[in-house]
Amino acid sequence: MSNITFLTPGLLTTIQDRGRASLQQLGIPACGAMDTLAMELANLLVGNFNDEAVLECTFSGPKIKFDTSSLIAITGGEVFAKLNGYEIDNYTTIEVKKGDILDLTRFKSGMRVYIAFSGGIKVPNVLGSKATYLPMQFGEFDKKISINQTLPIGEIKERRFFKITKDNPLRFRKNETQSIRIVQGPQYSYFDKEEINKIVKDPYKISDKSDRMGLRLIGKEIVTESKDMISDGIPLGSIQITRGGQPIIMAADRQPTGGYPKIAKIILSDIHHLGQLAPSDKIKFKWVDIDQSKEIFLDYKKELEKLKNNYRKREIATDVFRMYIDNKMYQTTLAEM
Amino acid sequence: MQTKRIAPIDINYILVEYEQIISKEINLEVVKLAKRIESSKLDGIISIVPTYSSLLIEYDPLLNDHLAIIKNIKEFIRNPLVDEEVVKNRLVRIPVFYGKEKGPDLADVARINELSEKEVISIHKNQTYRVYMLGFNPGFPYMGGLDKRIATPRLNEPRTKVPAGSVAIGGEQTGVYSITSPGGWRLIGHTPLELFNPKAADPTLLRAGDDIIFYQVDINEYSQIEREVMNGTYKPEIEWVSTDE
Repeated sequence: MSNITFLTPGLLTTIQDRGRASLQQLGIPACGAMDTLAMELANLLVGNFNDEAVLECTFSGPKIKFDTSSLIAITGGEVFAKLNGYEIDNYTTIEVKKGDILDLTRFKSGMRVYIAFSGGIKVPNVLGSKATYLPMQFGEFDKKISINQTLPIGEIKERRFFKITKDNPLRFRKNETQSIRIVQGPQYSYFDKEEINKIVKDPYKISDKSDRMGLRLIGKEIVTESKDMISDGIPLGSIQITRGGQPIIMAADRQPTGGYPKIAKIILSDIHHLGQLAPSDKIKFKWVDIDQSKEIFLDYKKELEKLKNNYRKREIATDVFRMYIDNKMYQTTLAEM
Repeated sequence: MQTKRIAPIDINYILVEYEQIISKEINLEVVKLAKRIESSKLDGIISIVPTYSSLLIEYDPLLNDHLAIIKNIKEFIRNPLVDEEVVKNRLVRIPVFYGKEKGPDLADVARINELSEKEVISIHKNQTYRVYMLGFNPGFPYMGGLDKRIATPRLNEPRTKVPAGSVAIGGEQTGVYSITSPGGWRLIGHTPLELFNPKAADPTLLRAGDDIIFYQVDINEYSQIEREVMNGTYKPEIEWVSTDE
C-alpha cells in the first residue's frame, strides 16, 4: 500500500469522515468532520464518494511527504498551500508525485482545512467509521497525527481536474460577523419571548474553551426558570443553555444525551460554519422557520449537484504538466481526443 | 400510551415526547417505539436515540420528510405490533465481586445507611434494574430501581479515575462505569465484564430497555470470568423475557 509521511504533524490533525451517528443510542458520540461541506467538496475534487475519510487540520496544518502519486484537494479555511515550495491553489484538484512535499503550515483564514486523497485514507473502521474521537481512543489510528507518522492512502481512479472558483457560494468566505440561522430547539417553550428575542439581538463571541464537542459563546446570558428537565437526545448544532445562562452550540463530538434545555438548533445548511469558527470570532443568530430551512437546504443541494455535474463533465486527463511562474505552480492537462 | 408531542426539529430531526417523568411504563413505550422504527426500515433514518421519556430521530431530508415520518410514527403508536421482538426484552445477569479493594466505598454505604455490608449487598443484588437509556459515556447504563434503603449521596470530592467495571451508587441511582473515567459515585463492587469494547461486533454489553440482575461472585469466580473475558471466550448471560406484566 502507498503511504504519506508527516514531516510535521500540524497543531491538531485528525482523520475524519461522516462519523458514527447511528451508534448514539449506545452512548457513543456521533463524531465526524466539523465542516462536512468542506469534506464533501474535497472528496468531490478527487473523485471520491462524498464521505470518504479526509484529514482535518486545525489552525496550522502538517507538512506531508508523498511516497506515491495521488490526486489531492485542499478545502475549508484558506491556507497558503505549497507543493515543493511552490504555491498551489485551494479548492482545486492537484496531482502530486512520489517525493513531493506538501506544506499546509500557514493558514490565511478559517479554523479548519481539509485534505482529501484519491481513494481515501486506508485505515480500518472502528465502530463503523474512521473518524478520530480525541477524548477516548477507540482504535489504533484514533489520535492526533504525530511527527513521522505514516498513513496509507488509496489509488488514483480517474484523473479529472477541476476547480471550485472563488465566486462559488459553497466556498469558505471569512465574514466579519458570521450570520447563523436557527430554528426552534427541543425546549424552545421553556424560554420567554424576551429570551427568544435576546439571543438574536447582539452578536456572540466564540470562547477559547470551544472544541469539537461544543462551541461556548460569550455574550448575553439567556435565562430560563430553573426548570429541571429529564435528559434527552442532543441534535447536532443545537444550542443548549447552561445553568449560568451561557449558550453552547453542540458539535460533532457532543455527548448523545444531556439535561440542559436546548432553545434553538442551527439549520442544517449552516452547520458547516461550526468547523470554521475560531476563538474570538463573532456570530449573529437569526430566527427562521422550518420551511425556510428546507428552502435554503434545497438551494444548497442544487449548487452541490451543479458542481458534481460539472466535475463529471470534465474529460479524463491522460497527461499533466507542471508549470512554474512566480513561485506558483500551475497544471495543464491533456485529454484523449 | 399517549405521546405528549411529536415535533419536527429543523428538517432533519423529529422529537417524540411522552409525559416527562421517569417511569418504567413510559420508558417501555419509548423503547418499543424505537425498536419499531428501527425494524420498519423507514427511508433515510440516520439515528434513533431513546432516552427516559422521549425519542430523538435523525433523518436525511433528501430521502424523507417530517410529515411522512410523523405519519408513520402515529401509525406505529396506534397499531402496535404483537411481534415477539417488540414485546420481549433482554435480561442480563452481571457478576459482581462486592467490597474489599474492588468496592472501596461499601463500608461507607453501609455506615451511612445504618446497615451491615452484607445487608447492602443483599439489597443491591435482590433487585431487577431497568436500563432506561445509555449515555454519559459509551455503554453507560442509566438504571432505575435502586432500593431507597441503600441510596447514598455522591462523594463530595469525585475521584479523578474510576476503573471501568466499577459498580456504584450515586444518590438514588446505581450504575456500572463503562469506561475508566472521573466519577463521584460510591464504589461498592466490580464486575469483570466489559460494558464497552469498541472492537466487538456488539460494542456495548447493554441496550436501552434491558433488565439487569447483579449476582455475587467470590474472588475465584471473578478471576475465572476475568480470564474468559480477556481470552474472548466469555458468553454474556442474556435471556429474552416478556415485558408484559
